[in-house]
Amino acid sequence: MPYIDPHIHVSSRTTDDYQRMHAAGIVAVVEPAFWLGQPRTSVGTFQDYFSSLIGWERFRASQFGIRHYCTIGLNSKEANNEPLADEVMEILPLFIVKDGVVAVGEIGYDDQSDAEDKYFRLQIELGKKFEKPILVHTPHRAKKEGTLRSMDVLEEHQVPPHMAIIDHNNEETVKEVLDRGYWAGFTIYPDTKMGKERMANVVQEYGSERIIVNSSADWGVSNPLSVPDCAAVMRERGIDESHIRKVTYQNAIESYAASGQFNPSDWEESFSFDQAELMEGNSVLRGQKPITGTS
Amino acid sequence: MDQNSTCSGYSNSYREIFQKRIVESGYEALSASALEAASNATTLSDLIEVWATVGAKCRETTAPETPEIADPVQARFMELPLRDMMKSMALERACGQWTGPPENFTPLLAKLYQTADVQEQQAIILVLPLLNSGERFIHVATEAARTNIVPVFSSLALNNPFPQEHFTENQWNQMVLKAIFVGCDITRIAGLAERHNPALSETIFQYVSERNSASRSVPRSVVELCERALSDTSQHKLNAIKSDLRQE
Repeated sequence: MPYIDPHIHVSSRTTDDYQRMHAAGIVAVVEPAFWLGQPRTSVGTFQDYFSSLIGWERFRASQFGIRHYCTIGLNSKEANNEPLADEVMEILPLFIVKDGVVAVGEIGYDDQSDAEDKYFRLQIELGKKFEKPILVHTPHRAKKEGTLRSMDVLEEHQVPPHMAIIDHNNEETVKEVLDRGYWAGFTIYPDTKMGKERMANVVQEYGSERIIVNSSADWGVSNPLSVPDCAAVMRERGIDESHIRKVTYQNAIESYAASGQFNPSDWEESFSFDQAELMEGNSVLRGQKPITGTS
Repeated sequence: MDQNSTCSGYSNSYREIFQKRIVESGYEALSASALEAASNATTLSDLIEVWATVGAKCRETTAPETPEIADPVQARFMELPLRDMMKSMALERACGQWTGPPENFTPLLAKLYQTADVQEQQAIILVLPLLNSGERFIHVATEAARTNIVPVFSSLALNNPFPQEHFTENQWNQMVLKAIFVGCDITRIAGLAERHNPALSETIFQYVSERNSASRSVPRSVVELCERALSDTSQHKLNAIKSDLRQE
């Protein structure tokens, strides 16, 4: 069964992870732009990061039979450096319009500061201008308040709920997010955010409409196989395959479809990969035996 | 070297195939408006806007099934996603009709390349031979010669007359060596015989010798290129290892 991981920071992961993800059935990933664990100090490093999301990382993923898409945005933490944030806002449109960019994101609140609010709103307007969905990061601290506030702001800016994905939900936020018509993302982490068992509970309680499972794997303690692992737990629980497929594959496609950039035909047909042809001698495959196959 | 002899056949072929594919796919109106908008472009944002429109409206990403094309250059142009070809022709038009300050075009193209996605970078590299005063864009070409994204590297190194026309001997030699390292079919490098030089033969000989020491094989075409201008001393050494050397 094919899976999509609609939120994973694969730039922070190794090629071993890509191999394991491919073996586990992950056919496509979305890598939202975010922070790098430490704040950037110049616009050039943002530009190079965005370039790598549409360039090198897209190519790197393809070597392992995985289609790579991304979202482009100024994350909430770094929105607090206002002079830099203004410079980043200027270059965002250069990247948002690119092929394979499926949303503006991940944006929203961290400390819920005034600066975060300002750049959240400016980027919501960018999403509307370029007709891209909005991927909303909800805060770790004061999550419920921050989640409700994010939706209030989206509504103030008249973003239709099907054009926004509210991410990192938990049992406390899911009901209101679904009731208000948004896509609800859930991040499965080994220790924090959601766990696999709890996720299965949510699907048993709320069904599979507009619910999306992701790994948000990055440079911290996280698991790039969260999506297939969570599907396995749901299967053990006896949750119907049609529901599992929706929350681990189909809803990801439908939530990003409005971008016009996320098409199953990209990975269902005509995507064969041949590492030997593309990568032999290159830094990614130093001395390894290349793999060939189809996705 | 006469630019006409190296680049004109390539350029004519590129334009012809673009025209043919535009007509066959029914994208004439989009192409015409994109080229028109590109001819008025004076900033990076203008060009990116033209490209975004093409990307949004031209949904054909792969070429339709076509009979086997013997000419590798033409086959490459047929494989290129039409929207990327359209973006590249918009760039050519912007270059040809440029009304901004002349010194601004080179940095604009560099920035366009830096902010381009994998497919767009290939489109830029493939259209370089069509741009007037190509020597202005050597920096972008050398960036492509250094990239680890092999499809972008191949767009420059294989079947593209730009390096043959504009690269210094050192730049040329580094490109050929990299093509050997990443496993490209070097017989597809435009100007391989014309630009060959003794220094390149000697460096390739070192490579062949290293591969042999590691009991690894070497493509026959690489050994042939090596022997084109090898010093007597090195030829003598090569002859000595040839019986062990695995050629494929």
